[in-house]
Amino acid sequence: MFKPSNHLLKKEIRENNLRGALSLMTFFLFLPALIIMFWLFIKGFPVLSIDFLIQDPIRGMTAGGIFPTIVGTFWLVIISVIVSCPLGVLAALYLSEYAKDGKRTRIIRLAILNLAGVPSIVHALFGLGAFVLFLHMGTSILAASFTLAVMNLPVIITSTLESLKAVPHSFREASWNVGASKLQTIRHIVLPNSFPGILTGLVFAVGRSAGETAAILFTGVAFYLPFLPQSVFDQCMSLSMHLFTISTQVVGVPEAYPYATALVLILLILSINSISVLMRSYFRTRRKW
Amino acid sequence: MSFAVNTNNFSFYYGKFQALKDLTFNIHAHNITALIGPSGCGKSTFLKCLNRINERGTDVSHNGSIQVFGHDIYHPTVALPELRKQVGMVFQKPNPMPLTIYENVIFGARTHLKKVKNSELDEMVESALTRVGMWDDLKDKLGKPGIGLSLEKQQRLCIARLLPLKPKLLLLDEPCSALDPAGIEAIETLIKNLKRDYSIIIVTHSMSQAKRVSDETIFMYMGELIEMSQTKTLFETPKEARTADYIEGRFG
Repeated sequence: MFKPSNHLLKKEIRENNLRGALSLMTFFLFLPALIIMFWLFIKGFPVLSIDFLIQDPIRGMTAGGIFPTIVGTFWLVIISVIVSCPLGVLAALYLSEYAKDGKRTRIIRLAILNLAGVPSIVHALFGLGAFVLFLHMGTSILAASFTLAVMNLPVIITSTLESLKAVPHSFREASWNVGASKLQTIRHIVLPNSFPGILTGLVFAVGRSAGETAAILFTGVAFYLPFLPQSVFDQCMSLSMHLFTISTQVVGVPEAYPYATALVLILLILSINSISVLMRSYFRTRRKW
Repeated sequence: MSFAVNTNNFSFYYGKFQALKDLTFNIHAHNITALIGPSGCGKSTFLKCLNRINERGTDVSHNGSIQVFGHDIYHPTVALPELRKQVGMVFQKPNPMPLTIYENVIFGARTHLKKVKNSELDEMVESALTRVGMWDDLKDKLGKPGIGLSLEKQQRLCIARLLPLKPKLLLLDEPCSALDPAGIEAIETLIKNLKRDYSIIIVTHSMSQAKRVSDETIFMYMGELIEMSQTKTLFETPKEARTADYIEGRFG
């Protein structure tokens, strides 16, 4: 009585085929990540050591370590975060909580989307024009960080907007309804409940800027510097730029060096991203709604 | 008897759409007034005009005036937080804030008072929860999240959080539509209890509810006031044909 008809059997076969095809696609997506990590590890292994991390590059960058590049990346990321986080979060707060839904707001949103689509090399040229030349910052950590910050702004604004939107409107209504002002509502209801999402987005943006190369190319990063930066007006080296340099611009670099550098860069970004994932799951378990 | 609300040729627009047309009527203080009518007739809009909660983010405009206890609420000097403090609203879907039960009750008080002693806050919580009949149940669970309560209790909590502000007028927007019959009965009893101290306007889809709880009933249709009278009169001998059709279930 409940035996499957031919039609049903065919449907099941099709269903299984599709599932197989989709899981294969997912696997192919996952495969490159695995191969890259594995390959970098195998190839870079010979030079990987604590010394590699804490020594300066020597003999025309064909030996030694990558310490100054880690320091440089660190500065660039920190300063760009300090600049872009407050700006981005406040702009998102304005757009989500204050701006009326009119033509002007739509244009601003569109501009933000477009800004996110601008290639990083164009951001670099903008940084060169605006920060290095016009604002007389020179090629410096400051100019490079600002360029990174501009590049990160749309990402931060978009992710913050999403987190703010995730707080149910009824909470805000409840708060206004007992006579709380907008600011009070933001402080006591909106921000506490969107904070985890905002933070996650910020950390993700940090990870992105750590790997960025083109945007800092003309604005503050040097191929090689014999000393560490003394202030934000100095140039610095960066992991991503260093990788490019020793892979293509310098003769006689042992094969393992670029691989090991790439591995360090990827591990750095992966660990920043996993902080963001961990934070998200931690806050999710504590959510009250 | 004094009036809680006087409207005078009041019209209200969302953009170009006229949601309320030339409303002129008076609502008695210390009464329960029911607003009935088919969906989209403007009853919720009118309710939301009374504490101007419907002005955010959308393009709205109005003509005429509404007075609440003799004061024009659209006067330029009106401070919205102060208006909302005195005219509190309970929504269709219970919406406790993502805070503890205790903090939910005193949230409004905290936003309005600069410095309050903890003992005063404790008193507010006790008297508000007692007033809505939940103190004995909840006095040991004040630190629990308000969202963990049953829907009926959430709705009571939403009423309770208005009380520390000493409102004069309570607006209930279909407060029972998310509740089961037992919950509805409990909330209705509570509403009748509150009548002594507050003026209440309730929007409802349920005609039996309007009959059970209200003293006066207003029937609205397409943004217009069709009929307003004592609840008993309106349901037993409606003057207008449309009112009769609606309460007998011929449309809506």
